[in-house]
Amino acid sequence: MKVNIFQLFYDKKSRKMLDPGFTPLEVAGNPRPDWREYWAIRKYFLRNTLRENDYYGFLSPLFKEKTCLASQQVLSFIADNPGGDVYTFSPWFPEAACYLNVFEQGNRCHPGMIPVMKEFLDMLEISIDFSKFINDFRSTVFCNYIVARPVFWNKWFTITERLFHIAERNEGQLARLLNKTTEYHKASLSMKVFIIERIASLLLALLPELKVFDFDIQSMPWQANSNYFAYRKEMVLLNALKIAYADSFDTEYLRIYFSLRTCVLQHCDALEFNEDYINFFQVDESVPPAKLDEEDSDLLLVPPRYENPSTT
Amino acid sequence: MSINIFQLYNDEASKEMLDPGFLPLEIKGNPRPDWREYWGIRSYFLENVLEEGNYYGFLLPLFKTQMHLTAEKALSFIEKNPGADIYTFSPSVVDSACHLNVFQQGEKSYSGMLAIMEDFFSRIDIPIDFNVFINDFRTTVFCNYIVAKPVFWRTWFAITERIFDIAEHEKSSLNERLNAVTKHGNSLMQIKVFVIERIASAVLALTPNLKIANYLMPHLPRLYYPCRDELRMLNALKIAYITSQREHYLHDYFSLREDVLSRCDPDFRNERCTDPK
Repeated sequence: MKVNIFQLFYDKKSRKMLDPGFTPLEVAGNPRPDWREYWAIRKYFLRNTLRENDYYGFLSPLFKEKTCLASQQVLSFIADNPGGDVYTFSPWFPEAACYLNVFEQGNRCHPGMIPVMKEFLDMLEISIDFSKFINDFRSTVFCNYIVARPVFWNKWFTITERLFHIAERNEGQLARLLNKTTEYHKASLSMKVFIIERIASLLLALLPELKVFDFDIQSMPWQANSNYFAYRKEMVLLNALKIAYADSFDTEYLRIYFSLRTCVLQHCDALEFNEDYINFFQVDESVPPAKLDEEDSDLLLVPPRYENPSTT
Repeated sequence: MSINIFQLYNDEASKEMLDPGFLPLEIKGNPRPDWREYWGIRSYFLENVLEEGNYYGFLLPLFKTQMHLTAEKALSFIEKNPGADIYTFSPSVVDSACHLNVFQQGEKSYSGMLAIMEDFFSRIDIPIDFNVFINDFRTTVFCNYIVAKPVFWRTWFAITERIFDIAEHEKSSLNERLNAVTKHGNSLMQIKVFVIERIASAVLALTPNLKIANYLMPHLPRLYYPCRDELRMLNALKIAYITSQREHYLHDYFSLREDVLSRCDPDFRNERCTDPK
């Protein structure tokens, strides 16, 4: 059993950010920055045969900044919790607690995400009611900070490749929506990037039989909005309510979840908690995206472009 | 598949309380009142062969009063939730939410119960740490209000019969403590009755592969009504702990429970006033 954790880099600047305990993986020439890190992960999967019992992970150069974790801590966590199929190191405690699932969170930051996701899942004949779909701390992964066996990556790659080919062929309504630019902080990125980022969470929720060890999200660094710090207990409770709903399908837990969540967001989300919304499943494209309190430096770190992207 | 829900009775007064939608089951002559309903259930299991696909339940004459449920409604709940191994109808949401498990709840009313349970479970090589043992709504059963397939009853009966043997035949400290008399309302009962009553909850918590459908009592004591959401939250924290084994959920559980009890339970408030710890 070998643990292969790659850290992507594009240029000298991002190379300098690498943790020497991970394996550097160069995105040579960064030919398709529109796909962000997916381009490199894809290339790796297409060129290499994964070994059934080995673990693979693909981290961005900003892993340390976002998680405060050094490679040694990541490897120790894996060694201390043997036998997992998946290990996650997801940052952003409030985002994981205060939204029922990563798609609700995504729909708030990138209005119109849920209809695109639904259309894509229809194509895969996967039927999901996002208003009841649960991502708890176990199954919430942002930034693809995952180390997993092929039992996970094979399924992940099957789904992401379907999305990739639809977007690349650029035919039809779904392709148009996937390639459409969505504003995010100061960067403009295609919706496909944010959807690809959420496929891991989708799979982890759909596959409860996968043995997941999630690094304690409460120990992750706080974003600039420290308002949430005072609501740690409530956010843990929000997660417990999600787990209780997923366990029992008793919709009372959802009612209490949304009620408590609204209270937390009203207190903490200083910039623009929109009181018109009890939830964010129906925020359509015409609504300006919610701004988070911290600029996502991973997205601002626009990799150098060596070739013109051809898809958008 | 047939659903055999018996309602026990042992005299004219209790016979009059029966719901005609259940099957009456007489404890003839009530030869061992010290065992309460266990005597009736035990006799049934010893005298009958259970069929694998059938359901069996043994309710008290007080079922309707305690659960606010008629036989028709209980059967309708089972029909609307097909395929479970076990259906539970437990009357006290508050006792379930505000205690980590039924044994801690029992200790409050019947001092010494936890020590008895620890000794008993050690004896049968099932070590349980009751400080972290969880009964959530699904696995909390009081009054043996269970309708279940033999897959459950077999395990239950194997354990309860060990208790029965110890209480009936053994010369030991455990025997003495099981047979010790304790107050229950206005009457005196042996602690073995309350121990037996809690075995179902232990079995359900220890066998998570069993599929349980739990009828959650909609009625709450008036004092707890303002904290009805918090009772659910307490249960959610217990489930989160079971799922993740992360201790912070237990800390949050105890903290919220203290808050709920302080608001809703005058006895708890009084105890706090007299015992500043």
